[in-house]
Amino acid sequence: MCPKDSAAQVPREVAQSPVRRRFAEFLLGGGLLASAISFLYPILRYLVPPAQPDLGTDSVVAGRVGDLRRNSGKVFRFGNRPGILVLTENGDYKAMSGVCTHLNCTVQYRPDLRQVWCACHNGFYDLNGRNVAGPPPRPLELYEVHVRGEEIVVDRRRGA
Amino acid sequence: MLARVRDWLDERFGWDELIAPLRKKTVPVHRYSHWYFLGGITLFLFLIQVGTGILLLLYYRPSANEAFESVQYIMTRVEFGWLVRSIHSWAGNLMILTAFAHMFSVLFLRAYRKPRELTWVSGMLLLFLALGFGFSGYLLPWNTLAFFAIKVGTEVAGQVPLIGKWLVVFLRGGEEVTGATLTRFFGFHVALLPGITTLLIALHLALVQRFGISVPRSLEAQWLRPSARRHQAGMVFPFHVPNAEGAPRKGLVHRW
Repeated sequence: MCPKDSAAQVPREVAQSPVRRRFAEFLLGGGLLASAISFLYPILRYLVPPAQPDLGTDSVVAGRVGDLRRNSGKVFRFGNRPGILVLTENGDYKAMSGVCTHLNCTVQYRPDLRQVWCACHNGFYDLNGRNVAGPPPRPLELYEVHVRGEEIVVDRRRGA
Repeated sequence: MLARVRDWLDERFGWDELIAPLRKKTVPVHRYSHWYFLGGITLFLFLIQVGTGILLLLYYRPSANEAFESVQYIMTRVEFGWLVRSIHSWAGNLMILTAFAHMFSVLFLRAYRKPRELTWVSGMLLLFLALGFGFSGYLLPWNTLAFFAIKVGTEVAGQVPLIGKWLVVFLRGGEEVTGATLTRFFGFHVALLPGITTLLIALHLALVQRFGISVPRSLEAQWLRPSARRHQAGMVFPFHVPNAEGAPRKGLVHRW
């Protein structure tokens, strides 16, 4: 258990060459240390969160076919932000970021106006995400929508 | 430094007395063979699983929307995430393998006989728990393979008479395999099973510590006959490759 004890028990003659002994200890200790580092280093690196703390979600199932009536919309989760999915009167799906470019409120669909509306400061976007009225300074990011079987999949272009 | 800490502890609650039983152990040297390592290897792999499992918990997200993405995230974005997840997966498989090998070695040597019945029973329960770990963990990547494996696996539970239907609903958290199933299996995998398993391992080890390591019957008989022929009675298992001296020794008291 305690290296001092065991060393004390070894008779002096046995430990004949202190140099050789020290060298062996150095090799052994160095090997153990290298092993320990090779185990600990990956763990420490793993613990550091990557620069992109977001999941980096590029694709998400926004809903199922039949969830939406025509001329209605719903808010879905896209990674850690909301997105909004709209089924137009023509039966087309439109998806865009759900975060208002003005002050980051969550937007909603207005069936009466056929526009996306931010309730916070009365901002309006059309169904291509363009900011058409009110304070929003920029358009909403538009996503691609694919219907895959029963699922409505929303994609964000990589790097966007 | 270490000695001072020990003295401090010893003065307060008799540390040396507490660990005295751990310091002296009879290790059978009669057939020094790899088969005796299997329990220890299984324990080691379990500890690996605990460590890597905790690391995975830092990034894994147990919800239907995020589980798959978070696993991809671990594999591609997190530094050494691929390593941690792969170790978790491989060590898990190896643990099942060594646990089974351990069980069979005990079985064929009849090491379960009196007074070690409880060690055997707790070991069998641990084996089932290990299978439970494997099953519940299989769903967590939330990919197609995982989904259908669990769908089929839980259907098997449905064949149990009388409570089968109820069992499936309990396991799936509903009629079908959904996000509810994922949440449930995650709970089993990281809380329920580890808790029970840790307790049982403590019991299992305490029993091994108490009884020492089993000596095969044929050897026991040999030792009881002083004039016995000193060669091996051929038995089923490769425990019985003759050792260097050929003659069985009764065991070695190992101290450290």
